[in-house]
Amino acid sequence: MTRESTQESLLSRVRDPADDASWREFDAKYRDLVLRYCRRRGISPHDAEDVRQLLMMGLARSMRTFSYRPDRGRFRDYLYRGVRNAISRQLSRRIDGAAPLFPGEAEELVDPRPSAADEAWETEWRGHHLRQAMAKAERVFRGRSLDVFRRLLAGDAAGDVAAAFGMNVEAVYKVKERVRMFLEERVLEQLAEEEFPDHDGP
Amino acid sequence: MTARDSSGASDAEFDFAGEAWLDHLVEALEVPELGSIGPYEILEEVARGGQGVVYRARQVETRREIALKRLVEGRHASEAARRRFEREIEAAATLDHPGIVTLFGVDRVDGVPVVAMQWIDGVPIDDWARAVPSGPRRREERLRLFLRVCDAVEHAHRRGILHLDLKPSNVLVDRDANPHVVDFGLARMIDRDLDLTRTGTFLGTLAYASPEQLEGGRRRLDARSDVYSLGVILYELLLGERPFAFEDGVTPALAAKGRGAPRAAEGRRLGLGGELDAIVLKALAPRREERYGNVSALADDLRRLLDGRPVLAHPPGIAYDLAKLARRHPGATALGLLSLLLVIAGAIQSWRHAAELRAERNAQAAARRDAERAEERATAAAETADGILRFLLSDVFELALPQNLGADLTLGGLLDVAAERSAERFAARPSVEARVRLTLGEVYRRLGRYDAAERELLRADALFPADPEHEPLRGRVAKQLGHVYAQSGREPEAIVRFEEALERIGDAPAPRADLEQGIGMCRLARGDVVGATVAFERSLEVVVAHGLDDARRVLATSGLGIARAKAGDFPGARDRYEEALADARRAFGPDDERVAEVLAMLADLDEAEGKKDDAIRRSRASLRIMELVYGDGHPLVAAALGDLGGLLDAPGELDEGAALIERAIAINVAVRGDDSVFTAFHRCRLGKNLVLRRRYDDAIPVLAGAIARVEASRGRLDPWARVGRETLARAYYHSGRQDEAEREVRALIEIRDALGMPDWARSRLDEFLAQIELACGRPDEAAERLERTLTALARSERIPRAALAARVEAWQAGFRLFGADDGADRLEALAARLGVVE
Repeated sequence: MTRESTQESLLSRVRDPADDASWREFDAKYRDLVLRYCRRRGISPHDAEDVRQLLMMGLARSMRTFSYRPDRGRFRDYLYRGVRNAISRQLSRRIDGAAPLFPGEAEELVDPRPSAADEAWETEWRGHHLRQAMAKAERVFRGRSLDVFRRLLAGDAAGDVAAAFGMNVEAVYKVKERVRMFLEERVLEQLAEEEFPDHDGP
Repeated sequence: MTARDSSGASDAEFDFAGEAWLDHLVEALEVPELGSIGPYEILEEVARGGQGVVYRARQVETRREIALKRLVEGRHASEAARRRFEREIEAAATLDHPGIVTLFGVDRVDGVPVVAMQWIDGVPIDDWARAVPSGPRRREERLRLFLRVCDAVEHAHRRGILHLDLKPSNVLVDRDANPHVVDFGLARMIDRDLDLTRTGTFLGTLAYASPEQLEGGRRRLDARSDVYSLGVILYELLLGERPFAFEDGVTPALAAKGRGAPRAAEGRRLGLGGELDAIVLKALAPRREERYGNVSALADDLRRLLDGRPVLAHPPGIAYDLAKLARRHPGATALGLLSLLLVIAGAIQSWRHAAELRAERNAQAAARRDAERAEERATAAAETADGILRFLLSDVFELALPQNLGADLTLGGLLDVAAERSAERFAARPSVEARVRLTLGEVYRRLGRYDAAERELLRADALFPADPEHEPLRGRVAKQLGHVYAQSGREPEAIVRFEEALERIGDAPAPRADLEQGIGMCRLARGDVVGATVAFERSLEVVVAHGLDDARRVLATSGLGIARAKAGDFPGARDRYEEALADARRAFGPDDERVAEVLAMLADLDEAEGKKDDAIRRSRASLRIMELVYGDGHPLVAAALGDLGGLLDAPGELDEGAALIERAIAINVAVRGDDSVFTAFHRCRLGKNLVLRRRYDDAIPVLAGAIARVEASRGRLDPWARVGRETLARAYYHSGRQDEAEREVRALIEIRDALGMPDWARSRLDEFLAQIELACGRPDEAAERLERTLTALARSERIPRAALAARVEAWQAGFRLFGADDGADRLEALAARLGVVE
């Protein structure tokens, strides 16, 4: 009440599998990333849905006993490893769930980063953050600014957009710059939350 | 330090400096090709629920566009989920109605059932209602379409199938304005298979679900649950928004739903016109017994309205309203009604007493004189009680209500009438008028209307004759005034009144315990922990010695807990709180306001101990109970709103937090006034929320005003003022107003020194000041300051060397950032000398 306090992010809240709402939020947040990555790997939506399901079950199991710790590797690599394992298990139709998808407390994360060949994950992970940031932008920017930016996204030249909206080109660039700065800030925030689930507030 | 620096990642892909980010964004937003599920080519995902994913798809063979639904859990589905899904297919297959989406068939892909359904190229009914360029569709058009939805749902009900998940996204309107009800996703057969919903899991959507669905218990659901959901849709179609504001937080919306109080409602009016108001409210009645019994009854009433015939849903009468009122404000109204009942009971007792005395007089002539005197007293008491009773029943209830208040009855309105009329009615009998005003004052206070309570109580105080007979009553007035002042943040006046009451009341143990308790709370608020502890201990002593009730024991125990917490003894505080909580739950049940109070104290303690999740959980529980007990607009609800709002300070929670705090402020402004110190407390919280959202320019005036108000009433050392000032300093700093930031931090350092904190606890402000000095281009002063800080910290044994070394490193980084390498070097040298670093 009268003191500064530590905030806990989604990542630390999902450690409690009983926290159903957090799980749903977590699923909603990362679902698209997982499904899109699967599609990029040529996996059918049918299998991709099961990969997602398998991944969530694996996360629930492993996070009960294992705290994801930033000093032991990045979250995106941790998640990647889970996705990769879920895919190989799904494709080999082994859904007995005997072996954990995620490393346990004792297991060291030996070079858990994606191989250079798997740029698909990096691309999708980047896309994931940009989509999240854009979704926030769509809630914050309204009306004309958003319409202007959408036209730019659609590939229209700044001059054409300016003419269409009856503004000068300068103003169009200003909109673009404001959205750019907004997105950059949001992405940085998201990265911080992802990697430092228990960080202190500003 | 930014996230990018510290993650150690090579995040070249997030290079926002060039133009690549725009291409990356375009790529990220592209909808990828989805591939196939069995014989269906998937075109896009259109919906996702707890149970199934729905795709727009194309049947490869026929090229027909269909909707394909797949069980979301796929091969991992439990047996129960598969059964439920299969049941849906079975149910939907029996339905054949133009308003219900057609089912084509069932397929299995790798053992997972998928269902092919008619694809409706349409929009959800709420979008349809809005989507006309010339403005919203005509009301009659909306009602006629809604009637067709009712017909479709009624068709399913007649075949024993409930929908149980009716919401706008499940009612699609096609281009020819035909409605189609889709996704009988939770449908189950009415007369069999009850087990399916006994899992305790509720899969529907909160905003549209009926209260009995939200309860999730084992009650058997029936057509009236669908009536409720249709009522929500109807409300939304007519008023353009949902009846309950789930976007402003789930808890308050649930409470409003449970009370049957949609946001447009003023009393029993929604502003749609009397009959339509009545129809919508009847469909939305929280208790299903009060709803339409089935969908066709709702539809029939709407048809009567459209045809200009009288509807069956009538605006309810006074008796209904009184019952409703009692449900809406269980705590407050119960007390108001209780006050009346006490008067009535007192009257009856007096009459009976008088009768008994008459009998006694006949039997024992010897004691006649004593008995006669006693009878006189009893008769006088009976007359007083009778007078008050008749006044309340005839003047207030019978005369005032039907004509003047109509259906918009509130207890507050009732009291206003009573207060207005009691002067003329009792002009000749001041002590009776005083009693009425005392009762009114008590009830006003319980309703949170402190200004009116103070007015009535001061009048009562002036009206009571100053004789020994009226001494206890004057004591009661003083006690009530003390509570009013305490709850208005006027603690010194409250203490005076409580002490006055202690003198007047005499030896009665219960009031003594209450008064000591009140004094304890006021002393706590003024920071007098020792004095408060003494008062609480006295209160507890009286409670124990006289075996008083649990309520008072809970209060005294939790009061001692607060005193411990304020003295820094957290484990001691926790013990007391846990004891009080257990007592309260045992004595009053789980949903009592005293349980809520103790939960709030525990939440506060959790927060102080860094257990944020526990704090939020308990705070939510506390708010839920307070809203249940007091309804909207009560200051105790405001306190709970503000507590929770202040706790919700993580990035994703700030909007909810702000909304809660703003509601708390609005209630306080309405109840205690814009100038109240409680309003200022909540404004300090709002300021902090704004700072966390980086809205510094908005935060500064809010904080400056609130701090001035708190300091005027509580002094500069008050914790609210201190935290508010530090937040203000941060707001100034971040908006580049370094001079003002520095002024505030220096004031804080002065206050800190006045409080005499230990060295290890003082460094934060020094660090902040050094940061400001650096930003102002005075690196030498900053370095000197941090040298002193470091020397002090190094002396403390409470700070681990490693933590200190890390801090020094952060300071150095700060100096280098501002190009002040000298300062960084000075600190490094000092750290080495002090043995902080190697």
